[in-house]
Amino acid sequence: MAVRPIDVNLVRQDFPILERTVHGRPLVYLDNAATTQKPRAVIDALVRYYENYNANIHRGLHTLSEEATARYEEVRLKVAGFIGAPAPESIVFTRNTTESINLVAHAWGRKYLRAGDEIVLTVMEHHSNLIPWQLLARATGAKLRFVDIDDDGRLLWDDFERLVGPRTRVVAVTHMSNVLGTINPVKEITELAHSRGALVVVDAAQSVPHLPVDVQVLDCDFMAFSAHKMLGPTGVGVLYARQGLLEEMDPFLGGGEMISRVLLEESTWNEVPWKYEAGTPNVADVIAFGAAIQYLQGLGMDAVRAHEKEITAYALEALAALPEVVAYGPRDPEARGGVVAFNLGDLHPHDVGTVLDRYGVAVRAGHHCAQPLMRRLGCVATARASFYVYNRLDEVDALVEGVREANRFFGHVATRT
Amino acid sequence: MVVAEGYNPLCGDEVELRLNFQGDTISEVSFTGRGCSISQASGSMLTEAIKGKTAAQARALMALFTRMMTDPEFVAQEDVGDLEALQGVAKYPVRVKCATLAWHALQDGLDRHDGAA
Repeated sequence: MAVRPIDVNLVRQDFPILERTVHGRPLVYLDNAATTQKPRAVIDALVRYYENYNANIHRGLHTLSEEATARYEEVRLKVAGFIGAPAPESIVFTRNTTESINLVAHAWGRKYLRAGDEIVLTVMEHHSNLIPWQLLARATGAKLRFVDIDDDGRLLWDDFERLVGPRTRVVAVTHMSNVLGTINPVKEITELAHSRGALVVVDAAQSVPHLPVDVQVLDCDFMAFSAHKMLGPTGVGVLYARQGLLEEMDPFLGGGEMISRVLLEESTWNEVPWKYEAGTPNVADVIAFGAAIQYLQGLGMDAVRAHEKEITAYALEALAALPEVVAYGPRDPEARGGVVAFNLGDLHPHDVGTVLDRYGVAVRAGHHCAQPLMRRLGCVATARASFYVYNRLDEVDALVEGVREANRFFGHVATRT
Repeated sequence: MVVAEGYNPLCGDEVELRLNFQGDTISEVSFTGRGCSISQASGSMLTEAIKGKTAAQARALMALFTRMMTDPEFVAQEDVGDLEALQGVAKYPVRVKCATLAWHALQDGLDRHDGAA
């Protein structure tokens, strides 16, 4: 089936912020791994909610509340469809990916893990898929094990074979690295983990926004991602859970909405997924998130992937032509997403980032919430450019020109005695 | 001689100051380090600014510099020499830590000198 390619100039018209200038130059926004810009449809959905049917949900009998509740639950259904989940009840709305993973570590992990149990992670994990497991290990006496990477930035399959064993209870892995761009073989990892009796938690913060993802094909047990990294507003995250898991887990946050019957000394819990949505949720932003999903479905995730592959291939080639630039992650655009971390000689990434900013080019510089990965790569920080649906090839040219300029500017300073 | 170090693990900036005192005066000061241009420039400028000053004068200069870094509206009345070049850093809160790293090391060095005296 032919994929209708993204018409990037048409897409850009939907994003008001792309009209901005920065230091007198057109904004070249290449920090999409950090957060993404919002199309008019998402901004309008948010405003429309507050202007027309703002009300608390699930509890009210009046019309506004009924409308708000229906719209909110509609988005749950949309999200389920977007990732191929079998039912809307497998979707929990949280604040972000980080909260989703913490939810699993607490509500599942603290209930089931014992001293000596093992949690298998990788050296490329974002802190949000690392710290919750550190805290869980500390609380339960479980041990952490780490799968290493090769020089191309890919996970070592042999490490999985070796580390996932009879004591392994959970394997937590990123679907796509926010530094290396590496796309990990989650389906194969899940097959292995399941065959050895372990559950799989997938950090999909970078994958769901950029690739077609089907949780039933991947067969993972939990998946976490954030709205703001996929054209949606901040303050909304998703936890997908395989059917049957949420019912068995302990509650996470306690309060209104997640209960059924409340006595003074004890309570019973609401059905899933509402058991995990305590208190008033982020109604407005969930509804706006629905508009973001609709927008992405309009483009088609195959088209999004194709678009980013093209830009990434172009960027990798252009950066490879600069002898002082080291780019990290797989060289093959098939094996990676549109995240390109790089360093320019001896220059500190903060300095590279500042020069790029003066040219209107927004990249990130730092450790990208992946200090263990930085250590593994032998650096303290990198610059990082990350692409999305509204980026153009000539924006890569602007990036490269800015990198050249940083090299020129600092070149005569770089010889330190 | 007092050796004072500063290190920011988040970005990898490192500075090392070596201070020699004659009485209360900083007779010699040298700086080595690794990191971003702002942290290194600040360290280098610091050595020029405090050499020959007393510990008290150095502390006063440090307070002044910190004020310059944290308040974009602040304009120093005194002559701060080359340090004025770093005034612009105040507009980039993320980079302020880079500029003040060497000065925090200086404070540590002065405190230890005072403690030993």
